[in-house]
Amino acid sequence: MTVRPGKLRNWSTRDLMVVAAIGVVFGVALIPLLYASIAMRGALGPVGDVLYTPLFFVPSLMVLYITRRPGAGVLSGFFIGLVQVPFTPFGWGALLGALNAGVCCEVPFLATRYRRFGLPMLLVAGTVAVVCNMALFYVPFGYLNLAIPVQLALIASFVLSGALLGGLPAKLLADAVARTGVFSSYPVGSTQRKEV
Amino acid sequence: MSPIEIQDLRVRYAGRKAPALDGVDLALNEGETVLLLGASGSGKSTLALTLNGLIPHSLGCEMDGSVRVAGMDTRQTEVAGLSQRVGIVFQDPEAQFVTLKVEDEVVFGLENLCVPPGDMDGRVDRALARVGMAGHRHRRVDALSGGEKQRVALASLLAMEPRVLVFDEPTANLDPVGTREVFALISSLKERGEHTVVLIEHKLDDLMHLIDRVVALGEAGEVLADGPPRAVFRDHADALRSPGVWMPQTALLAHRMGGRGLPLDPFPVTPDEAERALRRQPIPKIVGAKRRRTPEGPPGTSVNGAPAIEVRDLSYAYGDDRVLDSVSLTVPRGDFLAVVGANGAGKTTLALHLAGVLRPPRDAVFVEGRDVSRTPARDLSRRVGYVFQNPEHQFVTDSVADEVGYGLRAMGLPEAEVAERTAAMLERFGLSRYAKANPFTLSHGEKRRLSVATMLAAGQQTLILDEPTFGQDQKNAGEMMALLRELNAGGRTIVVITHDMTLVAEHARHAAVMSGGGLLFCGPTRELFARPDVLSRARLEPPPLARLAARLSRHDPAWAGLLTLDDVAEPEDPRPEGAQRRADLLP
Amino acid sequence: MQTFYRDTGAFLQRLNPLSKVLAFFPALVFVALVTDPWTPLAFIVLTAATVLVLGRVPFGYFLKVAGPLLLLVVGFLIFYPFVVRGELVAGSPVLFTLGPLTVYEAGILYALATALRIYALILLSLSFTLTTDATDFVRALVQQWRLPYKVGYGALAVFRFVPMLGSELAAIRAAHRVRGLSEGGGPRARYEQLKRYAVPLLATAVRRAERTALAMDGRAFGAYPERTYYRRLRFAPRDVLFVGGFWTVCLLIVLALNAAGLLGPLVLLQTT
Repeated sequence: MTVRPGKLRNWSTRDLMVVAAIGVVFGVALIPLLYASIAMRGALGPVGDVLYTPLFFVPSLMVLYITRRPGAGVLSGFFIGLVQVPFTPFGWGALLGALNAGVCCEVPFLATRYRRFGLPMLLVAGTVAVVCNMALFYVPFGYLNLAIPVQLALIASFVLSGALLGGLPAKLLADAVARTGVFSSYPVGSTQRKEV
Repeated sequence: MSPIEIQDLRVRYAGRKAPALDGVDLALNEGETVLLLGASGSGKSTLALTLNGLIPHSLGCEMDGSVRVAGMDTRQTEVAGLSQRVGIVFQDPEAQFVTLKVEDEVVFGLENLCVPPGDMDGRVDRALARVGMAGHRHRRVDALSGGEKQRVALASLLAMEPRVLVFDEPTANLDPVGTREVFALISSLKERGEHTVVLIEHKLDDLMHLIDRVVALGEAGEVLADGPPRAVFRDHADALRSPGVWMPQTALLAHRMGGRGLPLDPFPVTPDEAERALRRQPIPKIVGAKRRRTPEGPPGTSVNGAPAIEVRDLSYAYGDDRVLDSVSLTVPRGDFLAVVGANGAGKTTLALHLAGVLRPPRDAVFVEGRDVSRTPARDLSRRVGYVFQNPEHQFVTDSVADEVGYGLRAMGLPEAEVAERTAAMLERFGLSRYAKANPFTLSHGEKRRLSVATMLAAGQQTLILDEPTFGQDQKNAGEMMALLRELNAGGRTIVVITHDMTLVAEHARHAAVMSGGGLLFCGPTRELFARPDVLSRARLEPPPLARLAARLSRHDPAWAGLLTLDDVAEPEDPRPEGAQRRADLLP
Repeated sequence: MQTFYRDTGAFLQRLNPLSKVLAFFPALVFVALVTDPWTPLAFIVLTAATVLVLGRVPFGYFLKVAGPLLLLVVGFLIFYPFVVRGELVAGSPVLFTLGPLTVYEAGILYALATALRIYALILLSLSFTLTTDATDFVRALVQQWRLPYKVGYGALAVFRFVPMLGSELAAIRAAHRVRGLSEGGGPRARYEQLKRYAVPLLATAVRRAERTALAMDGRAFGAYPERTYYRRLRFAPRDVLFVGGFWTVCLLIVLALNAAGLLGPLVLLQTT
């Protein structure tokens, strides 16, 4: 009657719950954005996509920046999505979307082997994550059917918005929370930490 | 074999120089009930966490020395094994549940221990029956009252059949009704005698009869005193008092009387013992003390004669829920009013209307004669300060100095004056050395002082506080109340929402009793405690000393109406503890 | 905050949550790829019928939830007709011109198809949300699809944070109002305000998470690589029946549309 071993043996309950808690805060906070994103995609088309897509990447980027652990981004995406299952009409569609965002955020950090976490890295990570996501949805979102100059402008805008609306807020917010002392046992808190 | 044996235990958290525990030696005896005392930050909770191996297994700290549970070194034993021997009920009933239903919660630990599902039913039934929640198996956790939540938390531990139970401030987040439930539960555990119990708690008088032994931790994380309650409270009172350890009112009373040459013998630690000892005392001498320091006459009226706060027939509904039911209330200027009542009685809702956080309808709430519904928020915020239960909610800047300066800058004062007034406020509230620190990094008591400072910086004349002593040790709580007394003496109107009836008796001039959204009573504090009908309807109890005095008054009417320590016997140092500051320097 | 789940005790609610995922997923993928307006329309009808009949979700409640969602996709009709790629509308009759912009009939049809497609996707997801207890979904993922139980139970524990977040936010807003702060203003002020709300919310959530983690560890959470389950979730015959039945109906719809010549080319095939 037992279930096969789960992995994640090296994740303590505490680390897991902290990632989950940040996930739930954003999971709830992003719900209005989820509605808005659909409406905006309709009303503004790809312009809307450029503005809000990076915001969905903030939590996973932030969690990666705080914990600096492989898999933190995917995990946080999973928690964000799971919270949205009962609280939005989008059900497990939201789960897949959030999980995808988490995976995309993991890519740039994986590429640098989780060694770089400065501001430039966060900006680049935001861009890479958003561009990965764009590539995945290029066809289903119908970008391919847009006029060619529009397509080029779209790609350039995603590169910019990923850095400025994704990576930058993730770092600023994580630093602001770290200053309250709650992350004192995580890498991001150690810079703020002073012996008392 | 001792169920728990601690030798030379030292624990230090990462990023802290000072250890949380420093050289603790302690051996618990099978079946005893131990009260663990200590000031805030003395390491009580840290010690609790070492008992079932959460330190060092789950929390990364440095730990030296050894903790042995039933002979096993916790360092070498898996948490799974330890969890079947030691269970902890935590302070926050919300934060210790994993699932949404009572039944799921009780099986959670069993599932983790890989108990075969067929064995679970019986264990769940037994555990729930033991805490008096047998019929609640299929209820949702969030529909339970605070007291019920703590009972379910205990049931979920009992299902794992530990021999040692640790309660870490189990009633700190509960109202008086929930507190009584938890105490009854601990009492029933004690009667069965199957468990060794470690209890961290500071509402002491109603549970002293259950306690076999008291262990007190000092500020440096060392054992300050260890022994039977009578010996600890009789012989170590000074050592306990200076770091701010809570003591039973009964013991404080006995010391007061001892100091006036009237030692009680045997030294009482429970109300029953106190009653027996005091019935043998020559009464006239005892009651010779000054009756009351709080002035009882009508407080001074203001220049234009308008009361500080006036509420006229205020009702408020949240959905279908009638939270306030035609409440009318007048708070004169310079009053010290306590608002009391069970959870959900409408206290906070009423107070939020007074500060304009909840917008009252027209002509319902007046502050200094102005209709709150027609007063702009910014204007109101300069007249009424409101200190929330969680001070963190009010922090809006990154540094302590900016917090205090925020309101002053909003008034458009020149920077030099802001700096000067900020410095004065910080000095006054003992926060100068933290001026540059992030408000969130302060200790609980300091955060609370900061939030009071921010609420007075703009010269507010009325201050409303939601549970101002919540979660604080005796010293910090005493200092906070002394501060409020001083502000009150300086002419400010103070309104305090509280569950602490001792605080009400000692400090409040008037009391307002809320129940089911209505105002049951509003009048002088002393009159309230002479109205058992009002108290029982509002599910309140008089403070321990008042109950003792009421019992004694059946034999000697001289005891009638005594409420506080000061009523019975003046302290040798007439200043209240922590009141050594001056009332000047305030804007 | 309200969950959308309606526990009517009907057939859909009694199903294993995973069988609903299995049943709906192929339909979801297929609908995401179609380009004609008729297929999404057929699936919208099918989904609504499933929820109302097999889930016995009250019709009024269904309308209250599904109706406003329709507004979300109306925007597609406004924007898409103008920006569709040239080749797609070539040869289509011109409906009207608006200055430099020309709107073709094919453009309108294309936009309509997109809007309906998105709406069908939303309804397919909604049908799951309306009839599934999220905690059972997580349990099933753990017990049957090998989601690591630590992740699953971590998620269950944080579900309980949601009401707390609502009351925390309300308290923070009230506390800021007492300090004379007003809401609104320019982007800079909005960012500052967001930060003032987010920092205490996140700090509170993180600290509560740490306390919850201690309570979980104290009850032997994660002690063993495996754990037992008091309530076992399995696939019952009714689950097989539902998944098989739903797939069959979907297939019949697609075949019928194809036979009627209403099924357009699929997105991926169209672009290669």
